[in-house]
Amino acid sequence: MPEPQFVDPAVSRRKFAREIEEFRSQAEEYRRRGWLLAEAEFPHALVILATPNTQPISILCGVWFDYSNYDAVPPSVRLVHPLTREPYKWSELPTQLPRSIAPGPEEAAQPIPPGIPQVQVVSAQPYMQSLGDDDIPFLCMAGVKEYHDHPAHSGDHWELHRSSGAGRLVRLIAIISKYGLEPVTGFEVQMRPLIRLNFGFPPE
Amino acid sequence: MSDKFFEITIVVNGQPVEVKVRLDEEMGEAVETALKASGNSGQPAERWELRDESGQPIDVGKKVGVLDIKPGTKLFLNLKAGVGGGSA
Repeated sequence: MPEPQFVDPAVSRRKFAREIEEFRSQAEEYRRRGWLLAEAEFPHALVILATPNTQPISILCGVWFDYSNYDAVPPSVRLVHPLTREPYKWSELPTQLPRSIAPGPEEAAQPIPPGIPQVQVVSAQPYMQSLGDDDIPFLCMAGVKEYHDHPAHSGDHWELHRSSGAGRLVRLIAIISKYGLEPVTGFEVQMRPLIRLNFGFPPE
Repeated sequence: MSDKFFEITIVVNGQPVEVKVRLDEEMGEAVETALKASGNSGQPAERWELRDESGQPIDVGKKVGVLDIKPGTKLFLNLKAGVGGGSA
């Protein structure tokens, strides 16, 4: 449910307008990276992310921003269907924005017996988080309303991040692009073989 | 030539900032200047990521001359994602 606007609307509008103006001032570079500003009407903006490295180009997702009460409150950020603006459920997400996590000091310190090839184990951790398959996931990082509203992050206040521009439109798109768009280098085709008995021609 | 200043643009979290650089200075110095000029003092420089116009990351430990930065170059500086996320 959208939160009522409690910050002076003129303040939030001016700050939102600055986000949009600054995005548009570099729109040519951003377009080449696949970032397309499709809608911008206070308090919402829709940025569509297209894959610049595929042929043909395809649309990965839309990102729906809600800058209500900005910047007393960070923006709400959702990955949405680019045509309907419907937020993706966890099970529908086109990307979970995974990042590679290097092994911790304990894992890295494990001795490797001589003659065994060294293998670097890297695990992936998604920036999108959700409680269940049918829930609307949220972008789990500082600078996002859903992150700071979450009880698990009550120690990491928005005020600690506000002055460094953590909630700025371009910063958030750059991160979603880094983990969602840039890793896309092409298309993957999955073919599922169907095996069944071949009965040939039926007997007379 | 290396002691001569020239101007580049660093777009900090979307906000363009003009910065004067020298060929023999480390790119990190220009990053510090851009952060200061844009009023971004809340996070240390290592929490920011610098990229060129095509989106390729730039090593801020290298000198401006080594990186082949020319007058009028536009670079993009954004605050990294930092901690967050969780196990899938």
